[in-house]
Amino acid sequence: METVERDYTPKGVRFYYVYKPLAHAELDGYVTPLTLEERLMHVEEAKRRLGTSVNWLADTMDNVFHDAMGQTPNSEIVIDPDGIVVAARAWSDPEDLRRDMERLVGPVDHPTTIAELNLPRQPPPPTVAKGIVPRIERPSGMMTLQIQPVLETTDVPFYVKIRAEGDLGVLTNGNGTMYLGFHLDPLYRVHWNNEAGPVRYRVTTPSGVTMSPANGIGPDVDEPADADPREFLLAVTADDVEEPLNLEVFYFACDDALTFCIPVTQNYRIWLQQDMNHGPSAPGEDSQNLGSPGGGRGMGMGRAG
Amino acid sequence: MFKRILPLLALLVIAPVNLVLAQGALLPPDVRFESGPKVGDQVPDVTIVDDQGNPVSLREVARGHYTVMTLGCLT
Repeated sequence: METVERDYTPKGVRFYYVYKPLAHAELDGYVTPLTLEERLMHVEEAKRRLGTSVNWLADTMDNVFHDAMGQTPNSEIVIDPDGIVVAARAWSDPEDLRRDMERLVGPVDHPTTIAELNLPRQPPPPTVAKGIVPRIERPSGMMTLQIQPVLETTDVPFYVKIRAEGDLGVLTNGNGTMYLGFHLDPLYRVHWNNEAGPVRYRVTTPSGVTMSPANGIGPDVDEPADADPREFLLAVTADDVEEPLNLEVFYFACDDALTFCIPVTQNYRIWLQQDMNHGPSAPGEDSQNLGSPGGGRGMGMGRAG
Repeated sequence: MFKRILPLLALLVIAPVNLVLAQGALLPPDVRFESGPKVGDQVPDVTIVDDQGNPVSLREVARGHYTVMTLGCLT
């Protein structure tokens, strides 16, 4: 979109990226933001990574715009000065967008090319060593579950984010496997201090639900520090329950600059229902291996252009 | 005989439901976008935020000029 933006902003057209829920959590280590403040941290990170001059807006945490756009990952609309949608597509496409602009506003004499953009793109944030703790094998077809952080029980950020997924059995009849992953948020530049103690969790279930193991503890790791997720698979049996589970997590939050290492206890509510706003995870994937530079699947920003 | 048939009947009911749910979970974006804005619609009347967290009305943002809005995220 950047080439079109560069050519048509001087003609009075306004361009916005609207930040939405992550389509592929864990790609490049990014995890789902839990608060609006964290979503805006993602916006700043996207600006840094893309080096774009396009303006940014962000959806609210109840995802009203994402819902209005059909919960799609990269859809695009063009709106006329009277607020009427004059173009709409499920996937952002710079060539289609340019044709829209030529039709609505008029052509430009010398369209900007991708090569001329020279956007200062940046790599993902560095982390301490990864690949030390083996990833678990998740059953296929796992879907993201609805979660809600219990913000009032903590006064520090969620340095460690949970990822909860359920298989088809969990989502359809309450019997199956749930994945519980504890992922360091790379934007906080923290790591596991393996000398301070492993992550621990405890699940409290409503009546009619059992989970096993309801308590868990992360592995002992010889390396003093790492940034790998800590993962668990839980067996679930639930009798048509709509109430959420409560998950309590205990860990030590230690920053990479070695200025703090503090014990943290945080809580989440988890519903055994699919979260339609968040796509499936991309465990261990690197956006540099996906799509093309300047966009592609890795940045979720559509095709380069 | 009815007792033998009942589980089979249950399976015939449950299997398509599961398939629908599975398909619902995996609907491609082009299909999902069918519930999104169409050409000729007014822009959705929602309030989102700017990059500083200040509330902004989508209709106010779009008023008075051509506007392009593209959904996206880091991954």
